[in-house]
Amino acid sequence: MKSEEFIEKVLPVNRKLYRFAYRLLANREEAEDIVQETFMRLWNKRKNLHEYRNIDAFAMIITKNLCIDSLKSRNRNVMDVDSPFNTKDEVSPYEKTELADSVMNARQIIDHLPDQQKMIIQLRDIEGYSFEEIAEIMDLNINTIRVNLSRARKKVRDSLTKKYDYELKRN
Amino acid sequence: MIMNLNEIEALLKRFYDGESSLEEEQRLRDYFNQEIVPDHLSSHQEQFRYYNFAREEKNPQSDLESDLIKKINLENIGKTYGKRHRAFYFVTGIAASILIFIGIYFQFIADHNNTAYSMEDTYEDPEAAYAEAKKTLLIVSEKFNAGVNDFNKFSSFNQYKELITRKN
Repeated sequence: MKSEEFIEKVLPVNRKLYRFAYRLLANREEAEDIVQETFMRLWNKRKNLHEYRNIDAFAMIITKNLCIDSLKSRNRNVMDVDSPFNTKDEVSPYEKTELADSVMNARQIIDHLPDQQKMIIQLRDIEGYSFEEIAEIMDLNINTIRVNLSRARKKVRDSLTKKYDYELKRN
Repeated sequence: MIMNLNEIEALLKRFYDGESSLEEEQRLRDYFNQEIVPDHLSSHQEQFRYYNFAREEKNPQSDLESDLIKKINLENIGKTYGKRHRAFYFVTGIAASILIFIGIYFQFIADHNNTAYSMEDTYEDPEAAYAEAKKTLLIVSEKFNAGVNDFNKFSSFNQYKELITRKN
């Protein structure tokens, strides 16, 4: 695969990869590093990329595995207060738009879901992957994914409903 | 696209059960993207609006995509540069071997026919040749001894040096 084709066919997935990594790691710099690493690996495999039916999903698998490794090493370093992996980014002023404000609750609820549910919501409801693709990326069967997705969506709904009811009573 | 409430509620149920299709989910996001929805649906609205919002998100503090393009182009330049280098070495290698063969040809093969440089006797009489050789060697040894005499100065230098080191 030549660089023009690589830029046209493979590069556009970088935003999805970044959003996925950022969702899991909650750290922009680390998320970017992981996307860069993913692309380095894809570039090194460019001669064989044609063999992959779904390059998008293949790229996502690499990013997912790198994120999981990173989370594991973060857990190992959890005792180390100065570890750079313990930093979670604050929401930057750029992101504090009115629109972002109005969906901040949903965002926080999703960020507090278990990692697996977080990943499935990210892949399905934000990036719009098919169940087949998600099954491939997560290495799970479609039924498990449906069950976890349903659970995650209901959790988001219930948490939001509670919040809205509370605000309604307060006013 | 106008949808009636029954349809929306049916879609929502499928959505929360994990049974909706991608198209159905798109319809839900479109529906909730409008400003005003009935009160009993407003708690669902934020979830769908967040999904719409989140699919456009990127890192506001850097431009990852152009960084990646730069890197890919750099890799590419490096590759063609390497290719040109290899071609250059290949061509110069061939040129050098051709030069060596030409050199060998003139040195050995062409000279073979040219008798002017080959070894030949210069004296007819062996006695005369011997005398001439002896004379030449004598001159060489004379000049050599003249050179060696200068080294005697070094032995006195060594003597003084030994005196000094013994004192210390």
